[in-house]
Amino acid sequence: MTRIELGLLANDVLILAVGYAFLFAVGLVRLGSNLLWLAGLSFLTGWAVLGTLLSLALMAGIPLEVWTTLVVASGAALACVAVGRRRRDQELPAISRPKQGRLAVVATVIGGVTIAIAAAAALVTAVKSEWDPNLDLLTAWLPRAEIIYYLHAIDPSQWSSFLDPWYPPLVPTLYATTFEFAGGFHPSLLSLQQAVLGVAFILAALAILDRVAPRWITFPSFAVLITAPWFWWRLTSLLPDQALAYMLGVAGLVTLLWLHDRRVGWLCLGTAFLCAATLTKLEGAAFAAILAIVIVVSGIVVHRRKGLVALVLLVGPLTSLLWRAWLGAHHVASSNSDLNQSQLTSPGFLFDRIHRLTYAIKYMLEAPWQGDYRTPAIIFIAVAVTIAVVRRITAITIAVIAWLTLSFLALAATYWTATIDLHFYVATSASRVGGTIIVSAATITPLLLGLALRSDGEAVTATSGGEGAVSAAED
Amino acid sequence: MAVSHIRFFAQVGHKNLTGPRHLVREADLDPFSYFAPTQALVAAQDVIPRDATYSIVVGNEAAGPPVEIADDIFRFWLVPRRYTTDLSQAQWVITYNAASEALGVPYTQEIGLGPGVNAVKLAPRS
Repeated sequence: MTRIELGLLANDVLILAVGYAFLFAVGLVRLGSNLLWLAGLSFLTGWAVLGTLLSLALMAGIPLEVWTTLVVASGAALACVAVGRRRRDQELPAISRPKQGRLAVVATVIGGVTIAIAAAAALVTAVKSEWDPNLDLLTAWLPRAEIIYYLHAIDPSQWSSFLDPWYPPLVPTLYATTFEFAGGFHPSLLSLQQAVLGVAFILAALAILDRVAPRWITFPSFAVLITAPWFWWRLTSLLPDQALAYMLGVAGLVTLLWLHDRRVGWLCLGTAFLCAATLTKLEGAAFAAILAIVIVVSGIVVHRRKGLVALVLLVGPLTSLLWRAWLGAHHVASSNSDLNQSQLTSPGFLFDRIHRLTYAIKYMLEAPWQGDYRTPAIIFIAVAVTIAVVRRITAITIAVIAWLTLSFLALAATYWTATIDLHFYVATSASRVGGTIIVSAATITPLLLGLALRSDGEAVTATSGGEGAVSAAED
Repeated sequence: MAVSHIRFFAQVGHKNLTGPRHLVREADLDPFSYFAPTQALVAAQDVIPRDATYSIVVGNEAAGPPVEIADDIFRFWLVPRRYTTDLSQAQWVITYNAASEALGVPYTQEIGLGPGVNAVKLAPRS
């Protein structure tokens, strides 16, 4: 094993350890049970938690080097273990999974094999094929990772010298961390890191869903998603859109589970993912805020005063205030004036540009059915939502529809008010950013189906027993 | 549809699995080989000090990629060196398909980085 490979391994093990510790702290993992099945969720959680903490550390002026990463990760892990030890007696025992019929087993196996092949192919491709130097990467995202790697800090003047300095710092920070561990600036290594994150996302969603949906639903569902060409190719993309989709998709999943069973652990996990989404992209803050507000409102409607605990989710989108404060304190531009967001309250301005809104909505509605962006997942989602509504899991279905619709409209509103050439802007961004909404919807679909198919509608109380994957602490 | 896709992805994965593996530094640079001479990128990193301020002048003495792309690639590759469009502020200039003599500023050293690419050390200004 080379020095670079050892560095990458150490980087990923660190992320995994932080993730396990966080899951332990919030009562969502029983250390000692089958940890392998939780590896995906742990990695995804560790990526979110460590990325958020290191970004905040950089904003606070703490230099990013290997030793600081180790200190921050160790500190976070130890704190999580200390918190988790106090909660351990509250964990619930595992329950057994009902035996599946032959047809269900066949569907599970086909789905599982498809996911395994697609994941393996993506990982191999990430290692062996050329990385894609997208223009946004060269002019905005990667130079910022270089700045952090070489200067160990977010140097304001260097940061401002590249395109769109208001882009949040989490992805450049984690890329710089990879360079630190690999011992050099090697952008070609990042494809593998991104593919690992993508596979972790799939495994994370499967582990979470194991509690509420049968595998003959979850495995084929994610087989459909991972084989959608646009999704598979983006598994190795260095652009942060796919990472944002993972964060929001799993955040949606766990917060909806909270709505269903009111276990605080889900809210803690959701908050971590919303913080990371907010610090990943500007759209992340908007989509995270919409999800947090939808869950808070739904929580109050469903659980009355006990639903107020969901207010903790607002910590996620509010993290953007810290980044804005850093930008302001260092005299770095904090917003894109081309987006004209202040004009959203100006009826005359909006009316004059209504053609931009109608064009954007038409494009966004048609794109998933055309060319490279065509995906059968959409059909699956529509069917699932219909079944869910029919089966009367009303609150969760309404929350899902509200979140996705508002996110869709928020994106359309961006194209509406912006001064950037409409056709260019929509063509270059709608599929990437809109893909976030589609991935979120596809992630939530098996949850809706699983809940809809539960004949008794009971609240979920424990984990799938066979894997001992996820248990939850009562609030 | 998923079945036909997975067959294609499996083929892509298998082709990559059996293909050669590149050295990491080569893999870092390969995507740029169509747009810029990669040896010049590496040499520019060696020649221009990390704390220097530099500029890029792209000419049309020979056929080459669009100005913006060459500019973006060099800027990307040379972080943390400070980039400026103002030659009077620069300590070094990378000339890409452009004659160093045509810069219009005095210089003390000219170092070849690759075909059609030079690093020019400008004379200190009083």
